[in-house]
Amino acid sequence: MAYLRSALATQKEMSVQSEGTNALVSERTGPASRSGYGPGEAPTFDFYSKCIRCGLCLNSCPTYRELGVEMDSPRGRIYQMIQVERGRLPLSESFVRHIDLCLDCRACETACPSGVEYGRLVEVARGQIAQYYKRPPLASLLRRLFYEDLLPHRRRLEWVGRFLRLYQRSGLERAVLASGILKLFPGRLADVARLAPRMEKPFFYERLGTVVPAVGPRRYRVAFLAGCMANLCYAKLNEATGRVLARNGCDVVIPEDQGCCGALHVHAGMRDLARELAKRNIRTFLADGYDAIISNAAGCGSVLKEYPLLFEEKDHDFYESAKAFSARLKDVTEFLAGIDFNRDFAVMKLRATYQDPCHLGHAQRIRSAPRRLLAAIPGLELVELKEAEICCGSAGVYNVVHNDLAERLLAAKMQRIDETGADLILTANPGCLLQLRAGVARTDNQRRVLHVIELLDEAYGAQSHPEGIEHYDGQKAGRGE
Amino acid sequence: MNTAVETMQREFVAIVGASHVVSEPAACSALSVDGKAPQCVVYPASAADVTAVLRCAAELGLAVIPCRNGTKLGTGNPPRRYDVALSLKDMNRVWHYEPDDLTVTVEPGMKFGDFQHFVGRQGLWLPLDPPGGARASLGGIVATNATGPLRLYYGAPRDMVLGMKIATVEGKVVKAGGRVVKNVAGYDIAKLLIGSYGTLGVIVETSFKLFPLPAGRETFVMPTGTLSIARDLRRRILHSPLTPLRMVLLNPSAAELTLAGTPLERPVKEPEIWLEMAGSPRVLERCHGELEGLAKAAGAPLQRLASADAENVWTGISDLQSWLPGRSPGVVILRALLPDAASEELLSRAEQEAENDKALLAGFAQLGVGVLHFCLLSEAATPAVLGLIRRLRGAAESLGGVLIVERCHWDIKDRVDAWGSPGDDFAVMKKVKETWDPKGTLSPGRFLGRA
Amino acid sequence: MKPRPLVRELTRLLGPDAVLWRTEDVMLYEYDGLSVTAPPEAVVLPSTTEHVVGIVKLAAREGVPVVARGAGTGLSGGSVAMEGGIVIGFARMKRIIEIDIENLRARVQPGVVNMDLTLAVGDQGCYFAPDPSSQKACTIGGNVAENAGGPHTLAYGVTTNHILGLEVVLPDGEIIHTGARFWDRPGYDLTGFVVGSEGTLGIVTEITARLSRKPEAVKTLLAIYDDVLDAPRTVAAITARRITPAALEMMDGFTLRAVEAAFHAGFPMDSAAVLLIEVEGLRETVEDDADQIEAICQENHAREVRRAKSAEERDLLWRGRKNAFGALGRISPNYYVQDGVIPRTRLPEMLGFIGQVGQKYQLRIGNIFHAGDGNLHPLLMFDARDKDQTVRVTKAAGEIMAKCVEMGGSLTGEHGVGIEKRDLMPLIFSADDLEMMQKLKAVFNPRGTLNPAKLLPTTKMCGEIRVQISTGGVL
Repeated sequence: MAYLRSALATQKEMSVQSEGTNALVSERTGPASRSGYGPGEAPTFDFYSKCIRCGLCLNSCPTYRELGVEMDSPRGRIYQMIQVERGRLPLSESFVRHIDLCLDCRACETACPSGVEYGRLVEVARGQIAQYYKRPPLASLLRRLFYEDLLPHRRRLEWVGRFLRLYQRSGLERAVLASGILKLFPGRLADVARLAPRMEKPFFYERLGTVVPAVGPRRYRVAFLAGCMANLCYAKLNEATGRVLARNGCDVVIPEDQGCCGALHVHAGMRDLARELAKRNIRTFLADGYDAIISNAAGCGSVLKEYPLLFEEKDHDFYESAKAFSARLKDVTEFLAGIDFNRDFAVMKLRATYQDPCHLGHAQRIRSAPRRLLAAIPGLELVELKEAEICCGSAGVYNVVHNDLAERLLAAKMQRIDETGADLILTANPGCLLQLRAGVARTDNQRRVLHVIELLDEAYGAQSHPEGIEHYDGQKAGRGE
Repeated sequence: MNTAVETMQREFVAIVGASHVVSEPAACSALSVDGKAPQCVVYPASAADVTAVLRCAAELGLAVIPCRNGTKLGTGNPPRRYDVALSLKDMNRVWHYEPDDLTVTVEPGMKFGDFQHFVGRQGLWLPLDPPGGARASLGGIVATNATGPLRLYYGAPRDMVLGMKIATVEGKVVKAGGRVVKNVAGYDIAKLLIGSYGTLGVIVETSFKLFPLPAGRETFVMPTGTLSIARDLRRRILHSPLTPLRMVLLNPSAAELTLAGTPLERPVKEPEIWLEMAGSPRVLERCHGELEGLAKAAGAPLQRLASADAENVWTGISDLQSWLPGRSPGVVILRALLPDAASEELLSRAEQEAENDKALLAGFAQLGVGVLHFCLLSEAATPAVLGLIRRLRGAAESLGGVLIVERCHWDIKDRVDAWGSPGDDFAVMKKVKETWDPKGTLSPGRFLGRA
Repeated sequence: MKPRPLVRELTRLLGPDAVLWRTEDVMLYEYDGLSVTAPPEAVVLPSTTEHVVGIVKLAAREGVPVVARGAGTGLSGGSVAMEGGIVIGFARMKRIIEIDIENLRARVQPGVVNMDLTLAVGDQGCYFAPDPSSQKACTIGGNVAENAGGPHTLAYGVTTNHILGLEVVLPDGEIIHTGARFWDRPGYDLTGFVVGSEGTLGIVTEITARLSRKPEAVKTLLAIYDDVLDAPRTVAAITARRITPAALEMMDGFTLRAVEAAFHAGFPMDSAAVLLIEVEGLRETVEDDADQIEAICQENHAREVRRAKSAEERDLLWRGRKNAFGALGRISPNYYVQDGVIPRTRLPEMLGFIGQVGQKYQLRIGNIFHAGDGNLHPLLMFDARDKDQTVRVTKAAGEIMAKCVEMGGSLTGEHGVGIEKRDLMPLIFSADDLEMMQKLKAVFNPRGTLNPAKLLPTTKMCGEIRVQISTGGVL
């Protein structure tokens, strides 16, 4: 076909060919500059080239929905990553701001037809930022204190927990919040302080190294990963998880030498530290042949399942172990729904709705498991929540770091929840519990917010646990066999 | 005969041949519009003829009104000038017909009845029931976007035209759209021509999307007692899973008038809903059951008719313009367009207004569509009619609609705009008109804003 | 970097939060779903019609181009600012102003996402009929600009059949209201003319859309074929038998293997083609139609005809279909998607031709057709880093396009002309046709400042076709 002229021009050439191209276009056609990334893990062609820029992710992205700018959309963030690699965009303030603002909720992965592994891209990009971008001194200090000096250390966490518990129970907290003194501080400290989780008693740390024996014949032997801060403020949830698993014929081993999973570190780009934390957990949990390793925190679970990604480039020796670990890792709802679970539930006459935790629904693609469990509870009416797949704004520490946006997302979420007329709000991740409880508190409503497992625990009748778990002094894990 | 007319005739004869130019007074007055008769009627045989005639007319500064059988010539404002009737009678060829693709391309002069018969052999139809009925031409139907109650299920010509060719006064043929059922290449120029009443260009070819004829059809009649029961029924029917092909509400005078002279003739005392359902016998049985339930809930009895028996009633309803003036020569026909939910309200107000004037009003409401026809049957003095038209227009406008004067004596037309007042997009419409027809050759003064 | 005076004025008008002008920000508005890129000088995010009027007036004073943008999901480059200027992003004008169920109408701002309208009226048994594959993200303003289609437009028509009226801001800042809240308002159908005009006539700031009622019953059939040509033969037979399904989609074996690998929707991995057929309406109608269609499929050698047993199964099949482009994106770094239309009777012939073209140029081509209305989306796989492949794709695409035209078809069924097919317009329109389009454009947009360089060829075609290849956002 003689009249066909090839236009294989890359689009750069194409833009130049078109008439009236403005100056900015030709600027781009100059020699490609060096990549803006430093050495090490960085977003690479193989991963970002899957993005066909169709834009199907846009309306699933909470930040795009709220802010309405392309820079804060998944497609836009990937484009920025590409432009940094191409040297068109510096790894500096603007890039960092938009990458930071991402909730890493991964709703875009659900929406993406091309299978772009967005979470992986953004986490690697954050790794680059953590390594090569100099944040303001105060931000750096706070990040170091929180991620490096606090989370990985059990004893320090315990001390902080005890202090907070005292502060909360003595009435001091109420006095501080009522005084309005926090409004004197810069930023949104006053709002953030209200989000502080209740420290529970006893801390779950006391359970580490124990086993909750199966009720009835033992069908499985599972290990429970208790988390880090959850030991302080979700001790009751962890207890409930143990009881529910026991009710399903599980010996629940809670190994002693476990710790923070590193999820928050991965989300923050602190990949080296995350690797160290991962190694400890992998060693501990692979030391014994458990049928499953159980997490009740969707945010932790998704990173635990993705431990292998941490060892693809660095410390590759650990890659296979990480794979073995993640193959066995199950969210507690996933595990239960996957076995012939105990349906001996009491009647719960309640109207409930369920918010999918992003790291369960999007990152782990687990949506039906919690619903199947809930459907088995007689009397429970489950009303589907519109936009249940949209983040509530919790997102790890997001509601603290980006409180303003998180509040907007929470307000939208509470509106949808109100529409359901539910008197019980369910979810399956501690972070979401915290956020939704803050939302409920704001409306002065008496609605309860529970983890699915907590409701199951109630439906099984916690008080009638034959072993009286509250008083159970367990055997040492790994030795009882 | 003056020289200007001679020049004009000579020019046209040179284009289309002597046998295609007629100036006998009888032929001319048959195509007169609002009391004005053309100087001659030209019968082009091809698109090339049309373009040449149009260019010639534009050069001579003549005014041309395109037509065929004149079924819709009564609608519109009186022409400012009218020299030539461009009759497309001889342009009735089928250019392209692919029954298995459900597409057809035809010339504008083909009569709707002939066309339906032609495609009906393959079980197809163009699902329209326009004014003018079988006698209407396809070109006229498209140019006026003519619809009847079937609009409810099938839509309008606007939704069925795939593309067209248009002769312009510049003497060119412009193509718009194409022959395939889905097409977004270029501006949708055909949309401008559809419903333009022959004021922009002359459609010389149209491609349509065809539809399968329904397996079977049945008509159901529900006397409704009052208009508020009718409203209730309309809501129930439209909110039910049923999908009527067409549904009308007739006030008693309208029903009685339409039934008169048919085998179904009877006195009518209350408003009636007529609706037509389509499908296999099983589907029709289901429809009957559902309608029976709905009618019972509203306290209305339900009558079921084979559509063959009801066909002339439907024709009567959709083609008022053809038979009503024969029975009631001074009839004024008005068409209101408004958001559908206000149909019964407007009908009720119209009846009230007519009663105040001691006028007889037949009201036909196409439900689910938002089109109402009001026929003022009593002979009344012009000022009284004018007053009533204005009050009815006021009522339609207060309910968010408009009112078009479709047929009335031309001395009334001089004093009331047939279309009502234009909106804030009228300046753009005027520019569109100037773009196609800078000299005002086509149907000058007839359209919106007397443009 | 300091903002230009125009940017400062825009900022005064809209607030600093709604004006983007820094290189690192406007860079994010240089693309849409096609991969021709050009960054604007500023991006503004209005919240009201008055904002839009202000923006347009400023632009007119400065003689700067204005380009409207919804979600930037378009596949013909419609929202790319080819000549720079101001991009008006409608992401913040996403309010559903009014829902009127009894009249089946909704008034919306242009930034409302297509699916969000359907969700908003779903509880009342209604939906918005146009359903482009991007419906979860694309905006109704964008649908109006492109006259968007989708699988279910076979029975229900494209966007233009569902729009009653528009509020339009003209380039001089004047606001007009076209159409009405009812059908067929007297006067020229400016609504119909503006729909599909790709942002070159005016900026649409409010839309009155028609809603549709959900049918009582839906049945989804999956017909599976061992010979790829039997699928289009079935389509032709269904059309010829006078059955109009709500949707009639085809995917060839190559495509559905990619889809199945990605979504596990239950498509058979070993078949040569499938048809996804949906019938809607009264229960009885649907059963009758489904039985007839199944029989036609069998007559045309379908290996198997499955019926979706649940809403979940149906959703999964549709999820596979609607994400099919993306699924092919997973297996190839780049692809070029076409949007030609042909008469439905010619589908088997066309499919054979595409196969030959693929062989001739050694290209993998996936075929996803809105088969029921003859709208073809062949996807030509390539790696833009390989120049030779890119040349071959260009040639192959040109041949397929030429064949569509030869069969009496069209260049584009639903994606629009935009920048991509602008210079191909002379293939189907004469100089006179194009001149009339140009004149009508000038009625609305006399200085050509709205979305310049789109839709109409800028130069007379000198015997060449240049197919714009989408390179998938990387190169």
